[in-house]
Amino acid sequence: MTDELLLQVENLEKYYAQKRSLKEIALRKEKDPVQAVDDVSMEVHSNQSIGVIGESGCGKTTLLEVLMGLEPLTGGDVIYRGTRMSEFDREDWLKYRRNVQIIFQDPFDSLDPKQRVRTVLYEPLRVHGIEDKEQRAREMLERVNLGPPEQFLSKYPPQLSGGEKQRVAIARALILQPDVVLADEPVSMLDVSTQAAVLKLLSHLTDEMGVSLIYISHDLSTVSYVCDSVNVMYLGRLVEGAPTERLINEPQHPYTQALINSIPIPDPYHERETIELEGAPREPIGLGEGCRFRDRCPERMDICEKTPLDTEISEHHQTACHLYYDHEDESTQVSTGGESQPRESVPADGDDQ
Amino acid sequence: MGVSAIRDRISSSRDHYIWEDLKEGVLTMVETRSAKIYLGFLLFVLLLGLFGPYIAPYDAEERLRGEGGELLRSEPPSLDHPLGTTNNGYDVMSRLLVGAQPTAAAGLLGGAIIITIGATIGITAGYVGGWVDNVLMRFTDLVYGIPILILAMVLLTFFGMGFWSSVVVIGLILWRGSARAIRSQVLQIKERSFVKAARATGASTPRIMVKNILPNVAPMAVLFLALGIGGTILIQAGLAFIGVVDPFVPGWGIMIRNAHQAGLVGSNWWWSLPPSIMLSLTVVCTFMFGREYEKIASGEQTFAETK
Repeated sequence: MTDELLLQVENLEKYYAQKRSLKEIALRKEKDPVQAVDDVSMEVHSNQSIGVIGESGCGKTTLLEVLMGLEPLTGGDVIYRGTRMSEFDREDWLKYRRNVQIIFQDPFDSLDPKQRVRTVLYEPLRVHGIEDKEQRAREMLERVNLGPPEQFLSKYPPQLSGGEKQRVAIARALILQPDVVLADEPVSMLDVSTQAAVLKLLSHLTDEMGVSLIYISHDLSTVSYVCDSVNVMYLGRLVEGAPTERLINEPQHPYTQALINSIPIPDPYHERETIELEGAPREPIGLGEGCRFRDRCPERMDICEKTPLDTEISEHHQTACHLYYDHEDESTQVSTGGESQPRESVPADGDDQ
Repeated sequence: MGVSAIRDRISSSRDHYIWEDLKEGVLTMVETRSAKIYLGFLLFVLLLGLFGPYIAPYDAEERLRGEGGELLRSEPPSLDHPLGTTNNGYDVMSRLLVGAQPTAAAGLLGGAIIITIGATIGITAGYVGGWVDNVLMRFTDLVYGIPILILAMVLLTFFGMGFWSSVVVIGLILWRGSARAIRSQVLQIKERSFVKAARATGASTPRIMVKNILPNVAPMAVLFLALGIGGTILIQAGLAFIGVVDPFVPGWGIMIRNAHQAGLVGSNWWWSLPPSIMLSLTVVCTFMFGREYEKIASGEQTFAETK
């Protein structure tokens, strides 16, 4: 199949305004917004599966909801086949919603308890005015290994097991034959034994139907199973992106290194050097200039007060870290090495290299 | 519309959630004994409302005379008159049977008005949100401030003391509680991911309100329908007792009023007690039936699992 650029995320930004109390409104006090997603760029080509990993609260789900158009974006843009989301009209939205589908994290919540499986699968077809609903629904159920279809069509979601529910959710997402499917930790609520089967199915189906996948998770092992390339997200920003193999074997950004290092190895006698991160990510409020990871980073330098640029280390491998680019030809260099004023919130001394 | 489209519509209406909910719900409810009793009594009242006038032993509007031609005033219960007669010679049993009809009709109409307005406002306010929510809810607050008995009395005195108008006035005010409660439930439901999934497939706001939100607030709507029926019957009977409602529609409230006006509530117990008891039982049963229904239908388990 041809390699087509489907979805282009351009410096996407989603800030939530914080609620102000009456007093603060009266005093005209502004509050910093919550910077859930900040300056995220990526591209989705056809037949590609891209993972986004990061710890809870790093903005993964918000990124997904903005991509899905469930939350309005506050900056940057999403470009679908050349049309900008900020300029979508009604028809564009309908087309976008037909071609970009979502699988939610919690299958116990993502199927309407009052709708039979039949209705769940018919609804997208009805909305988009597609006939032969019955046939498509049966076909789709068989594809997600829920057979015979008659047995499932007239069931209500609470009568299904977790794995079966998630299969129905996958069937709903794929029944419109979309270009891109967004998956938000689709197996994290399932038993480990079911996880593997559902993952295998998802990865198999997206291959077979030629659907691109954006897979969001905190769990590197499931991501590496499904995805060709992985992006690492920290506090609303992408810090590193590379093909899966490469990212696991040669992580470059200190956060990715710590992340890879934290994958448990099922061998109690295995000796390895562990990188332990101290503290927890900050609140994504008033982050200002600078690398988001600098207060926990073992490699912290003075220059980390500046926002690092995205650098291409090798082909398809980018990272946003000051360790990896030549500051000589950039204007980002700190004027005087040691004397830049450290912020109060940041320990003044890091491990300089 | 082609044949297949029609067939599709029929089959989709057959497994419509309301039909399913009702069928399964009633089947499940009948399994608990208390619900069986409530439902049985309500059906009994409904049957009385339908057939009461035909099974009444005497004409409810006829003043009965004894063999000697004198009026049968305040006769205590006997075989001829199981519930005795009134001070004007009407048969109490017949009036009670005939009176079921206006009482049941008042309840059903009032409940229907209440839940229609309440659910529409509650779902719209909750799901659409923003200024729509603000306007609708402030309007609801405003209606909350209206003392219902007094407004009803004023309206009815000015615009005629009709029976149906009294029911409509009650319905136009009593929806306020259901609107608030349903809105708060909609606020929870709209954050659930199946609603987001519906939005993500491109379903329009009205479509989501009808197809996803309404079915999920249906159990609560049924509860409020029951509360509305009970409330309407009670308040309507109250208005009848006060005397601002058409006295020639012989509801149970009017019967109590007549007994009271004759000053015979205490002595002619066979006249005053039966309508009071029937009223109380009907209202209690509607309330309790609604509660039972809500308990089952809103539980996380489905009907199928409780079976």
